[in-house]
Amino acid sequence: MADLELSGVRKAFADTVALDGVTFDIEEGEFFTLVGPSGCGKTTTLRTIAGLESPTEGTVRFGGEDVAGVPTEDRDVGIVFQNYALFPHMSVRENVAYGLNFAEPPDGQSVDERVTELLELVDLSGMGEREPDQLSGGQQQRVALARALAPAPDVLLLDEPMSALDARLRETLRRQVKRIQQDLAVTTVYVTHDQEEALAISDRLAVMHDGGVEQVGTPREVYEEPATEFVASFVGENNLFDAEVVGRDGGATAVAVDGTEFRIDDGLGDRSGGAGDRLTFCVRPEDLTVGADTNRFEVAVDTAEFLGETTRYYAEWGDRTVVFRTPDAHGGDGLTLGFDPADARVL
Amino acid sequence: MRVTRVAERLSAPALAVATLALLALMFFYPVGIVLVEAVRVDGVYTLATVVEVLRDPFFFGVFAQALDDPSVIVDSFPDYRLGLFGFTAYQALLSTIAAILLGLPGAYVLARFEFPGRKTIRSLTALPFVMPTILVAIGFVATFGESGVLVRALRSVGLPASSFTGTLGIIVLAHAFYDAPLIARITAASWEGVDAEMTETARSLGASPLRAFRDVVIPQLLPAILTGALLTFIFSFMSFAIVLALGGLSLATVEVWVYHRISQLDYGTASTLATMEMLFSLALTYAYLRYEARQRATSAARPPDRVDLLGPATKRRLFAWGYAVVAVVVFVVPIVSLLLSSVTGPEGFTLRNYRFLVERQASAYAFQIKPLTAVTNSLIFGAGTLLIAVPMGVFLAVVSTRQFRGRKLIDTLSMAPFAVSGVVVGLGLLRGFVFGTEAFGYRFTVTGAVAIVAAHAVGAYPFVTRNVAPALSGIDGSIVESARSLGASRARVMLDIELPLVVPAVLAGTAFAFAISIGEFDSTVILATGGSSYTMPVAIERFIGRRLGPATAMGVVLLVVTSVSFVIIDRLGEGSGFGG
Amino acid sequence: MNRRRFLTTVGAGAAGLLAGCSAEPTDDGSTATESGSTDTPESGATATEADGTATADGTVTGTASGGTPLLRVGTYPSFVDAPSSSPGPWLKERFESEFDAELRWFAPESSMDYFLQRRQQGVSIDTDLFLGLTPENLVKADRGVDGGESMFTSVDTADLSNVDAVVDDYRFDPQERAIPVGASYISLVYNQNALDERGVDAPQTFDDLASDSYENGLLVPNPQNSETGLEFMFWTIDQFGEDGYLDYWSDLMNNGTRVLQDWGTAYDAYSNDEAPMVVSFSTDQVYADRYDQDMARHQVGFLNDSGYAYLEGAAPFTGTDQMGLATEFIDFVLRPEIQAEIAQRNVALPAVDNADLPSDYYDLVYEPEETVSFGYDELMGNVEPWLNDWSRQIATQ
Repeated sequence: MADLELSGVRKAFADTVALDGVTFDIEEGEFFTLVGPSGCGKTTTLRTIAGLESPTEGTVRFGGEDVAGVPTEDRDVGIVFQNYALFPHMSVRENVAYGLNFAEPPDGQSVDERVTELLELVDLSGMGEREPDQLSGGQQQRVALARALAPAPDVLLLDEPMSALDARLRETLRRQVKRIQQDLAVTTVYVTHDQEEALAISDRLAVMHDGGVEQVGTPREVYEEPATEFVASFVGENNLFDAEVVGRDGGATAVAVDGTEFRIDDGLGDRSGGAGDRLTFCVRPEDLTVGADTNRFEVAVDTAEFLGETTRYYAEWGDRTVVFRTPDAHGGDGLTLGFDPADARVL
Repeated sequence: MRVTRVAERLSAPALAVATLALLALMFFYPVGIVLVEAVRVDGVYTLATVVEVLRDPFFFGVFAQALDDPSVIVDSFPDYRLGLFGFTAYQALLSTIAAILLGLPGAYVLARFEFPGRKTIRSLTALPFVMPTILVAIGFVATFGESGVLVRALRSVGLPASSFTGTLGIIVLAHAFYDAPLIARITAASWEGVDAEMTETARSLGASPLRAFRDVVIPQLLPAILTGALLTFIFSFMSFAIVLALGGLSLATVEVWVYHRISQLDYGTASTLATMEMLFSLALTYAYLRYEARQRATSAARPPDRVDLLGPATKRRLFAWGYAVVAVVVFVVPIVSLLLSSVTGPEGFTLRNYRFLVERQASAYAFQIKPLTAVTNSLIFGAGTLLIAVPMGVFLAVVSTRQFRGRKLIDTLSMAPFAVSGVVVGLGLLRGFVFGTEAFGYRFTVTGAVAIVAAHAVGAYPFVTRNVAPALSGIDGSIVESARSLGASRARVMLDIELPLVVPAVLAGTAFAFAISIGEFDSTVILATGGSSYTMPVAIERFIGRRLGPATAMGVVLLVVTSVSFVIIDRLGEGSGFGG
Repeated sequence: MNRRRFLTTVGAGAAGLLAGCSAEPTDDGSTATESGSTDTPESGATATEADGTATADGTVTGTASGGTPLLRVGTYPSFVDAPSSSPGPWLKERFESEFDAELRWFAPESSMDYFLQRRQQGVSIDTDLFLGLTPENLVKADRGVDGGESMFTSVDTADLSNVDAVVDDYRFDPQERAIPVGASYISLVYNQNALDERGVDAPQTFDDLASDSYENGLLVPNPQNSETGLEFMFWTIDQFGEDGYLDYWSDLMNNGTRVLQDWGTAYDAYSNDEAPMVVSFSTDQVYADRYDQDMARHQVGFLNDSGYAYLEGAAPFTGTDQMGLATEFIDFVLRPEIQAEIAQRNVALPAVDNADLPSDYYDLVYEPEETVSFGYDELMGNVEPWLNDWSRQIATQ
């Protein structure tokens, strides 16, 4: 039985529909991420799980039980907000201990012992007597995490907790959160707009767009087999081509993009359609190689971004922009790119 | 656990019932039995009195005239007859403008400058509120009168000047004296929450400091300013004693008439006028609340730095110093004149007036008023007032921050005491409870002292609410949600999280509530009849003789007692400032 | 904020407040009970019975401790508790030294209105007589009970030994409930120095006050809540008649006259040179002399050679059980030597013509040639319309 199930959840506000039929399951102990651009409904979904919003339609189940009508304080959830929301009039210890007013510490521990244990877990031992306004952003976030975990909730919810931190800190904390989550094996729902982050830490993720779920899958699935155009372009970088089917060519499909012919082979067979049909396929930037043998076309390099281990190039092909990556240096016009037919994916 | 949960769930409704019951008992019922006279003539219910008042040009000027003959609107343009109501509204409007003009710069100085004694001065901004009319009148005559400080000073530098008293101007100034500090205090608190970065952004985009102020700061201050303006308008609208003391009967307001008709035993007209005053004030309040953007009492991400008031002259400092001079003339000089007149006699400097107080305390007969008893009574009544008004006020603030249908209406009703004359409240409590009410075969009475506390509490709790409600709604929602997610019920969140965070606002409201109690006169004098429950303002009135000496001495005692109380209450809140 | 301490404090306070409340069963047919009101003088804030027991008709048998008869006398505050001098304390001691009785003063802030409100609402008054009743008070009291039983009753004047010495002009109650016990005169008090600066003489007539030479010259206490001002208004009605006084006042106000809140405010303004003339009492120089003032600032002036008599009387309340003692008290108060003493302490004039005043008393206290005064009959039914019309004219916007 899945630990957390959402089924057909719809949430309408006075003038907008925030969620339109959201359905997914989360397994116990899973690190599940909701990712999407702002306004896609991921925060609303999280709040619905928490009980801070109630769905207009649809159900939310915790361990199989419908939690409709159960107020937040009675749902066994822990929340970490984007701005941490630490209680300013309490010390760090008091903040972390607050939830233990309403729940017994697990394993027969005393409150003090539990608080100490958690502070250790988030590497904040000895900071118990500090006040929130004496802490850095990263430290506050960890206190918020410890506070949410202290009552050993069934589900941990994090709403863009890293947004306010700088990139380096974000990476460090990300690893820490993931490690803690794995150690405690607590079901976690994580909300972020950063797809890179989502790919890095999740066991599975849901890509959301305009109040709906576009795709649910493991990071690899979502990255290598995007189900829709949106997922293809949102998760990682991608080059999308809309093409006209020319015909079958052995096991592959021949298509034409603005007159240039390509062979693509993603194992769809006849599903690609017949001659004259239109389809869209995508090729990842790292799969476009300079001087490849197959599917060649000529581009003019526009800008280059040195990324350290590789360089990202933006190039013009006709009136399209194409992105490709290679560690080598290139520049100027008349560059030939190509790709392996198997690296194309039809959407 | 279950029992506590049930208790917590019931706590809100239980508190609601208790508060409503108290309000009904202390306010709605007493006021009701007085105001009902507006529609009752000889025991019969009728609108005759109301109609009569509405059609009387003396009260409603051109409107009443137009009821009979609409053409008068065209004919008498633009010299419309104001009528008593029109004039009262007009002077209230002028007073509000004056109070804003005098109060805003004060808020600026309090919020943006640093100077020795700033916090004490901030505490003392509630002081003018307390001052009984007679003291303000004495102080103002001594400052702005014919032989007053200002006039003599102006003449000594060759400027022709004559007494300012007897004019509408002095009344407006006196109202500003009472209310500008209030506006300064409320606005300063809001100003301290304005984010420096916003102004800096505007400046970087090319706005001059003045422009940045106008476009960025003022909109954020607007809720605070409007709150202060509304309070000032209502107080000035309901004003009567200061009008008569400094202006004279030719500048009478509606409240003067209420008082007059009551003393003539014409309860019908008095109640009609009082009801109309109340409805007008409540309508204003409701309109304001509908468009109110809740005051954000959160600490700014980065509050603007304070500038030292003392230092080399810059445009800013010059403005602040200029304002300080004006503030000294308007606020400090009258109080100092009062102090001086308490130690001045025909023979020059003398402590005779204070000696009188001491002697009276020592050797007074039982039927005479003793100064110390008056002080103790005032303090006891003040404490009793706080006991009722603070919980009630806080609770109503909590109610006003919950979203529910009719919230604005409840909010308006909770402001009702502002809009009702103290005379009506006192009379209602007297008739309803001191004289006793019969119900179910019993006669229920309360002592005058209890009725006095009720009258004070009723006048005081709106201040607590108006201070606490904005602070509560300024609390970051995610803090509340975090607490809930950790298992706290609504009641626990309020007790553990929200209320502790608004302690500064509660204390600010407490200081004002205390001030209201100390300075209350109209209801108290009706209820403190003959017994030993007289207060300081009543004692001051009693000590008015041919020479005002003893009265001023008692007045100084009142000022000292109140100042000390304010500073104590305000300082209690220091170190507990968490903002939002 | 210790929750427990807070709750105990609230609890204690609430208990204290509740102690001041009471619920008593009402007798059949009785509407006035004695429960817990502070109407009892000096009983403060408790719910206990006052000294006495409730009787069916709502009055209280007054007995002081020890069985001495108790006489409760209501009066206005400055009679017993003025910062300068009041006759109350002395009178009490003198009375008690001679009579086997206790005199208890009771001086509520609202004076006569206090008793009237209670009588109107059917609450017992607990006082035996009132001293300091003016004609207007009496008229108002009678109008207030509106055809019901009068608030006051009359004594048998045969029992008042010195009653024949009461100045005739001072008698104001045809029903002889209120016996005059003191008087003063409403007059102008003016600052000769200020008038000299203007180059004018002292005003002699009413018309002077409304003339250019005395522009912005006069301060008047508000007749709405000051007896001084009210009687000044009566004075003008006497002078100009019911139909003419409003025009006169129109002239007065156009001439810069100011009507201030009450006598205290008006007099303070006068002392601060806001205007050279104020409506006050003809006894003004007594105080000025006491404090060594410049007499030129305390000149007394009568208008048209007349002055309005400010009269005070004493009358027992109906329902009192101490009629005998009350009569003895009034008799006592009317004695020449007592009248003289009261007059001096109250800085007023005696109501009798045979008071033993020191010969130089009249050096500083002035009486007009002609006394103007409206009695009960002239005032009944008129005070309100006069005051109303006058008020409306002054306050018209």
